[in-house]
Amino acid sequence: MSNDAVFEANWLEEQLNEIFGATEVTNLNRLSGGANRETWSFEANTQEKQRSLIMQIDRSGMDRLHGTCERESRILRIAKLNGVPVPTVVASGFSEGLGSRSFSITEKMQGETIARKILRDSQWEHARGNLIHDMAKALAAIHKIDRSHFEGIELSDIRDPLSSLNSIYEALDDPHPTFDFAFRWLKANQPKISESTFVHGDFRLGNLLIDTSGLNAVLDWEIAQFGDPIQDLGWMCVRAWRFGSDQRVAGLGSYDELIENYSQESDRDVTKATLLWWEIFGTLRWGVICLQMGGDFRKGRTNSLEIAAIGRRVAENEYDLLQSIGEITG
Amino acid sequence: MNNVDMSDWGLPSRINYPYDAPSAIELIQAVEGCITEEIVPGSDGATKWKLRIAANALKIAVREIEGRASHQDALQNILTDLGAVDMPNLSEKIKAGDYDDRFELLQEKLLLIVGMKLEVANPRYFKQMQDP
Repeated sequence: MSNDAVFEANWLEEQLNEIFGATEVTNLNRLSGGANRETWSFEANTQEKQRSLIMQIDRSGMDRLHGTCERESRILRIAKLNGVPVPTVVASGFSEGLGSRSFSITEKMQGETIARKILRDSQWEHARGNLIHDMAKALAAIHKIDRSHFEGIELSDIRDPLSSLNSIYEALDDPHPTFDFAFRWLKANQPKISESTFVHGDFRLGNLLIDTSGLNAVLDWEIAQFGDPIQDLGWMCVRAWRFGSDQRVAGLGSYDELIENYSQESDRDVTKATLLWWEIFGTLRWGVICLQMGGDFRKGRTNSLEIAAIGRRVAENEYDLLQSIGEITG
Repeated sequence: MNNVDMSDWGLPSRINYPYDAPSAIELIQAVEGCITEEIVPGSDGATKWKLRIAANALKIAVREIEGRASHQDALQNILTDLGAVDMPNLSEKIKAGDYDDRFELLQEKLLLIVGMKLEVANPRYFKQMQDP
């Protein structure tokens, strides 16, 4: 047990005893990455079997994120039943052992999540060739899930995404003229929102588990919600999620490839103009999230250096906004 | 003793009186160098990753201290060109539609402001985007 563990040594074994019978936990390791939660990998050993599992816990001291791991595990179960590739949930809930933070325990699936490796290393070359198709197919499956399955799960239903994002930005009370410029442009050029479906909300490399043949699992459902499905497509085109690659869609391919694959899988017509609007919306959204996360540090809600540093990424998004809007209007 | 050549013993001039050297910037740079060159190579996993974030944060702090005076002057000139008194005022004016007939000018000036921010926060990103 690592000495910075936030839970008691035998708490985890108690959880697993209820499910698997007498269980011994070994190789417990805290994994890097993930600003909003803590992630651990470990082996659960019973007499019959050794299982590789992942546990996630809400980050402490962030009320905004309270209960997100437990909620996510409920979403994972629904997604799995509806043909979306996701890890199987083993256990989830709240525990006093975690200072009432929520947790989830899932199977550990094989593959890579680190975007820069996926985009550059030769071992993922074959996977790269399939990824746009796999991502489009997974998104179509996500957007097809009937709303009624989510009854009882608290999910935002965003009918006016621009004013919803704007109210978050205004509440932060930290004026950024470039954001105001972008809000104004987005408002003037907003496509009609045709429908509201279940959306992942953070669908991009980094949150996708890739194996050598392509997409193996969709992870990180903490901001899943209801809204315009095309936002999931625009989000993965945001420059931050190209991780330095010059390919516009997730650092992997072209707008046309994404539109063609998604249209085929979903029976939806998507225009490039609508996709670009959602990409710019996504860039502004990531910018506002960076501002909010930097603010969490400034307000003393977290002392995480990682989160503090994200505050300085606001400028990258402002630059991207000016570039993208310039490309369209110029 | 007089045979020792002392011609290069002179210390660099400094401006941080009444304090001594190393200056604030030099101290931050020393910590950054220590993290990057001495501590990072011997660490792994989550620790290495955190140390890289720490070293980068210190580099941002140094660039901000070094760039602040000239950036603040430049910002004031840009705001004057746009007829705004400060950044919150510029935000208000944009929201009120004051630049709707000068969108290109606004875009150009905002790019100058963001450029200064990126020079401090992430100059590599700025260059990468300037000539892809």
